[in-house]
Formats: sequence, C-alpha cells, structure tokens
Amino acid sequence: MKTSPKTSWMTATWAVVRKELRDIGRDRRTLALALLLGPLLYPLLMLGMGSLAEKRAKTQLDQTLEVPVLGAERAPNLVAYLATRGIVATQPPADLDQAIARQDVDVALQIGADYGKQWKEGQPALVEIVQDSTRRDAEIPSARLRSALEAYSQQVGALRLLARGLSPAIARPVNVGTRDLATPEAKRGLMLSFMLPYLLIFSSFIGGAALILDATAGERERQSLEPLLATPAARGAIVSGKIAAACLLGLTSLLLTLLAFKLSAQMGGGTMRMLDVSFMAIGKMLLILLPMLFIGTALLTYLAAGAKSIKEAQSHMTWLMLMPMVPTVILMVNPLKTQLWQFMVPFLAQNQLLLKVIRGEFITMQVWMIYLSAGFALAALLWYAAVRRYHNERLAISG
Amino acid sequence: MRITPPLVAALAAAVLLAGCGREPAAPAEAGVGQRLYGRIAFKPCSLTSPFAADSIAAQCARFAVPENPAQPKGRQVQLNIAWLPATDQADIAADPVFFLAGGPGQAATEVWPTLDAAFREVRKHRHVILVDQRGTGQSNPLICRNAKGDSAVMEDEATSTEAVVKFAADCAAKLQADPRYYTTTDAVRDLDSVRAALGAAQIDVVGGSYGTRVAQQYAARYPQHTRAVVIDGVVPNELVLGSEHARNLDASLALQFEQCRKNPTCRQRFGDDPRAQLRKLMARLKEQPVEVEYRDPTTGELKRDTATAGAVAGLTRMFAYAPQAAALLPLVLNEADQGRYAPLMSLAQLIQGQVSEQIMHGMQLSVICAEDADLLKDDPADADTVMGSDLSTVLVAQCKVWPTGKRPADFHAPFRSQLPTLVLSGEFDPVTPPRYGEQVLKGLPNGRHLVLRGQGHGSFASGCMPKLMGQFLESADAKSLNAKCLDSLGYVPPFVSFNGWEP
Repeated sequence: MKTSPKTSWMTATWAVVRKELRDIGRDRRTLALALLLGPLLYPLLMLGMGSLAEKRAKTQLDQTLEVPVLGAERAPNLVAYLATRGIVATQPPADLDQAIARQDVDVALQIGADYGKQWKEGQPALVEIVQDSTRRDAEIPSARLRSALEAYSQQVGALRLLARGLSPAIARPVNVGTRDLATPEAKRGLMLSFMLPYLLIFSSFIGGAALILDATAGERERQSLEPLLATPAARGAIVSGKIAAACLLGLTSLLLTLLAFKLSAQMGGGTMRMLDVSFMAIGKMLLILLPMLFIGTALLTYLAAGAKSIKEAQSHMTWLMLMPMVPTVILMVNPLKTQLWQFMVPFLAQNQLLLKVIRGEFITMQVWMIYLSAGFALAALLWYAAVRRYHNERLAISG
Repeated sequence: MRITPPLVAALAAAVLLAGCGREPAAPAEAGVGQRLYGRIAFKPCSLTSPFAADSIAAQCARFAVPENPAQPKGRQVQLNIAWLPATDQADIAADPVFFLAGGPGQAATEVWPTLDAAFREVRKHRHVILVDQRGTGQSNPLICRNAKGDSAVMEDEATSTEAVVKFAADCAAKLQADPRYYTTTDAVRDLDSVRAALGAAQIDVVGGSYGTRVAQQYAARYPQHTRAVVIDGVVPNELVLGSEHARNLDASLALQFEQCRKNPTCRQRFGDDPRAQLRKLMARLKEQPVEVEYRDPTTGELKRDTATAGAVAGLTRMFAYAPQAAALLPLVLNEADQGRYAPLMSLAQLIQGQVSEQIMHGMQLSVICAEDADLLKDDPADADTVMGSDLSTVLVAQCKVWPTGKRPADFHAPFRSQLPTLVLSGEFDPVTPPRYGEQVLKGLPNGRHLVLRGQGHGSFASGCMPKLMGQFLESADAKSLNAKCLDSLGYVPPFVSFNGWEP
C-alpha cells in the first residue's frame, strides 16, 4: 500500500514519539523525578515560605532592652522616659568600647558631659548611640533606641513651643501623604513576583531535559542511534518525534506543577491563598509557557545532538539553568517599564507576562500576538536547527 | 507511554480538588480605582489631621441611611466611611474593628490620624472601619456657626443666658436636618447597617471617651454581632454626661499638682500650692479681666483680647487631658500669675480653635439633650471648682430650645455583658477617672480593667498598650493578657523652665 510522503512522515514521527515515551517509561524513577519533582517541590517551597512569614505574625510584646548608659546621672528624666519605652539603663562596663568590640554589648548610650547645660540653655543636647554598624544583630536594638530618643526629642520640642505660646504645627510646614492606587492583587503579586515566574519558566524550559538528553546523546552513547537513522524514516521525522516526546513529557510536568499550585493555594493559608489560581489564569500561564517549552526542548536537542555523551550534554545544563534567572535579576536591579519589545525577548517576555497574570492585569490582544508569534518563531527556528544537525552524517557514528 | 496507576490517581486528585472553588480572600474589584468591601464601593483617599505628623492612606465611601428610621424614603444621611485595610495581606480576620470617636461631636475619620500609630498592631490582621457618626465630620455635620462663621458653642461675647439660647435656636433653624434623629441610639443603628453592608457577621467595637457610650450601647443592642469590646476613658451608662466633670477635673488637677510639689525644683520654682495660685489668678481675672496683646499661635500675628477667668479655666481643663500638656500647667499659670498673660492667651486660642473645629456642637446638643440634659442637676459641690457649673448651665439652657429626640427606657441601665471586654482608664483622667472603669467592670464577667499610671484621658497610645490591644483583639481573651509591661509607664515630670523639665 502506497502512502503519501506526508502521511509516512507523520507516521514515522508518531512512531518515534511512542518509542521515546516507552523508553523513558521503563525507567520509572527518572520518569517520576521528571514529572513529579516540580509539582511536589515548588508548592512545598512556597508553603514553607508562607508559614515562615506567618509564624512572626502574632503580636509579640517587646522584650525589655537593656542598654548600658554612660553618664546616666546627667539625664535622669531621659533615662526615666526610656524606661517607659521598655529600654532599661544598666551600669556600663569599664571598657565600653572593648565590650562592644567583644560583642558583649550590642548597643550603648553615651550622654554628653554638657547635656544638662545644653538642655537648660535650649541647645540640642548631645547623646550618642554607641554601636558597631557592621554587626547585624545590633541593628534592631539600636533602631529601637534611636526611635525612642527621636520621639523624646520631638515631644519635648513640641512642648517647648507650646510653653512659649506657639503651635507645634508651625514647625511642620509640609504634610506629606501617600495615596496608593495599587490593587490588592498587584500587592500580592509583588511578593510572588520573584519566585513564581522563575520556577515556572525554569520547569518549562528544562522540563523535557531528562528525556531529550537520553534520546539524543544517550542513544549515541549506547550506539543505538545508528540503526534508527538507518531506517527509511526521514531524519526530520525522527528529530521531530524526539522533540515532540520531550515536549509531551514537559507539558505533563508543567500541567501537574500548575495544578499543584492550585491545590496548595486552596489548601494552604497565608501567602498561598492569594495566588490567582482560577482556571482562566492557569490557562493563560500554560499558553505563556508553551513557547518556552518548545524553545527549551529544541535548544536542548540541538545542543545534545552535538554532544558525544550524556555527560557532555549534561554540562550544558549549568548555564541553561541560569538563563531563566537573568531577567529576574535584571528586573530586581533595574525595574523596567513595560514596553512592547520586551514581549519578544525570551525569558523576559515570559517573566513580564506571568507577572501580569499573577497581578490580574489585562493582557491586550496585540501583546498576545507579538508574544506568541515571536515565541513560536524562535521555537521553530531552533527546531529547524536541530533537524539540520541531524542531517550531519557524522552524527550516527559515536565516539 | 502508559500512565502508571499512581500517576493517574495523583492527576485525578489534582483535577478534583482544582474544581472546588474558593471564596475570594479579599473583596473583589469594582470599577477602576474602586475596591469593594461587602456591598460598599470604596475609593482611595487620605485622612489628615492638623495634629498628626502623617496623613493616613485609606479607602473612603459614602453610605446612605434614612435620617428618620420611620421614614425609609425620607431624607437620607450620607454617612462618611473610611476603611483602613489590614496592613499584612495574609490572614485577614473576618471581624473588622469599628473605631468610635468621642465628643460627642467628633468625627472618627478626623481623629484617626492621631491614633493610627496606636493601632498599628491591630491593623496588621484586621480591617479598621471609621464611620463619621451622623451629625459629625462629613456625615451631614450639625455645625453651629458664630457671627464670624466659625464652628462654636456660642457667640464669643455672649454673656446672657438669652443670647446663649438664641444661638442654639438659630443654629437649629439653619440646619438641613432634623436634630432629633442624631442621638447615640440612631448612631448605633447606623453602625449595624454599615456592618451588615460590609457583610461582616461580627465586629470589634473600640471606643474612646463618649465613644465608649456608643460601644456599650452597640454591644448591648447587638451582642450577636459583637466579638470583642475595647473601651478607653469609660463613660458608664449610668453616668449623666457633664454631671461630674467639674469635680473630676479638680481631683485630676490635685494629682497633677502633687507631681510638682514632690519635685524639689518645681516646688522651689512655683511654690507649695499651685492650686491656690490658680484660684487666686482666676479670682483676680473675674474681678478685673485684663486686656492682653499676644501673638496668634499659628499665624504669628499680633492680636489683642481680654484675658478672663473663663479662658484660664478652659485652658486648664484642656491641658489636664494629656499628662504631657499638664506638665506645662504650673509654668504657664505661674507666668500668668506674674502678669504675663500672652503665652496663656495664645494657648487658650489654640486649644479653643482646635476643640470647636473638631466638635460639632449641634450633634453634641442632639445627644446630650436627648440623653442627659433632663437628668443634669446643679451640684453645689461644683461651686469651688475650676470649671464651676458654667458648662452644664449652657447645655441645659440650649437644650430647652433644641429639637430633642427620645432615648430608650433602658438607656441608662448598667452595661452587662458576657463579651470579652478590655476597659482602660488613665490614672489622672480629668473626665472619666478610673473609678468609672471599675464601675463598668462589675457587669463584665469576661472583662478586664487596666489603669494606666500617670496617663490622662485616652490611653490607646501609652506604653505597650498598642501591643496589648493587638493581643486582646487576636485572642478575645482579656483575662489571659499579660499586662506586666504597663508597669514601666511613668509620670511626666513638670516643666520647670521654658526649656522643659529637668534634664
């Protein structure tokens, strides 16, 4: 029976897909790892972060803060005021500076020798907070001390004006307020904006890695590629079959990850409850990540096809894993205003679009068009490059 | 590849669970820039106060309620509501906090900027709702204006009872309102309408000063919708507003002045008996008021006015509210006693301006005339006090012509409730001394009374009180609160010079 070349191409591709899936299906552990790692690990990660943040949420009374005060006798009323703020003055050690260097003392207060005189004359009276600014654990007590001292200074300042018959308000000419127009959805998105896009892009980008490395470099290493290429099937069909199988695996993993997010958002509390996990949002995320999946898999195929062994192919993974991080880091350092060209740049585009979905913002048809055509075009290009590479005769001969 | 059974199970579970929807954690979006809380659509706004350093970002809305409940289609009062969304996005409690302002006649949205910091812990996991009580703020304010157009209790030069009464009658005639429906009982009904519109099954009511009356009335009428109560500077239901104020102020002043007597420098500077000095000063001014040139406290312009005994009494009264201001009293009164009246006049003007701008006198009359005036009696014990009986005399006279509403028969019945209730009193409070808190606590088996050392009227912000309030509203268990941290509260030392207390 004569079949059209097109049908046979399709049949060959489908046969390769089935073969590759069956191959990886035999290795249950690899398959489980590829499919379930993302869906299980990422929600756990996010849940963990959320519960860590919530542990701190219960109102805790301030602990009494003990601060060695040098010259406490010069400012008894200041010391008494600090005590009302839970800051208790203690006797300073003889060698205060050394004690701070030894980390026996976090923060200390020194009251200037002329404090009383300056106070009575209406000059700013000197008090010094003594600390080692490179010690992080001294930051909180010293900030607490500073805020108490500032409140004291402000209070007495206002009362001094009143005593002279002046309104303290005149010393505050401008009242600066903020009117925040951010939607609650956008505020939630802020917390998740660093983690979630990276995790999702990452898992779609290298989701098919396990299969593709095995199916290309692995087969070459096992010398089973040669007989496959010797079959009458078109090389293009063989490569496409391998890529398609990897894409199927990646897609399943991605789908599971998204569903796991939805699941944990429904069961979890706190931060996780705030994820927009409607089916609409999940669908949009899937559409955004689809080109990424194709790009990643095709690129891996291209790279792995040139490698002589799995080991060599795996060495590419190191820099590939860093790629999705690049836009996140750039955005962290230098937040970009959204512009159309950004939706053509891989990784950056996905990052921006995922953020939009998380924030519940509307994505215009134009953006969708630009993004999807740019994404799929790049995927097709890489796909073509991978197919071209397989036409190279040397490929079949290993080592 | 055949999907292995465990995988199928996992997938099926994921899909099944994915199907069950959940209620949105936060209110849904409504139009551009608007946020819905229950049925009410809010818009971003900021709350400011001339007395607070910061303005507060909030969501504001209007909510219409019928002025007269018997005529739902009649004139509507557009209640001004502010919503302060919880500051932590996670785990927002279902019960919002309703803050109830004092006065009567103050607006919750106007006093809030001075209180926001005290509620920072409360706000982490709870929304705060501010409803300008009808007749105050921007909820159809019952404002009485003097000839200058300023909010006032009476005309500046009014001396006769007739003039005072005429001022009230003229004010009532000009209002676009029926003042009979601006009582506490009407306000409490409004609060519950707002609660229902927000879709909250229960709320926490937090009130200060006169707001404690509103809080007790709300909790008594709607116990099923109340989760917890915090009242600060408590007005017992049995108390007739204004009846004991003069004596309470004098008792508070005695405590404040004792601080000066105990302080060697203060005693040396201002003598043994500041109260006697004050009495002498007021007697002298009553005999012969003094023409004084002074600077306006805000504009700095030179002004000329008469220093009267009334101005001294008013200043003393208002300064006694806060211990920091009370610390200035010996100094300011001593200056005046020496014939230097200018600072005193500046301060008297500052305070008077603040108070009358903030308090809607018409609303105050609506409340007091319906709820207290008929029970107010002249007390001979008020005669030798700083305030005397002037304040209640003015109110009683004005109530004779003010359109007066009704109060429920059990309005003055003691507040009895099983609700968890935190009762706060300032040791030196000149209006609602700690014994009032003690009295209210008797009806509260789940209540707790905290007396804050050295504090005045209103103690939300004192010491660790913000944190304790946060803990109480989290646990709704007053008994288990560890209030030891309040022990660190102290007394504000008296000013011994223009540069303050001793260093």
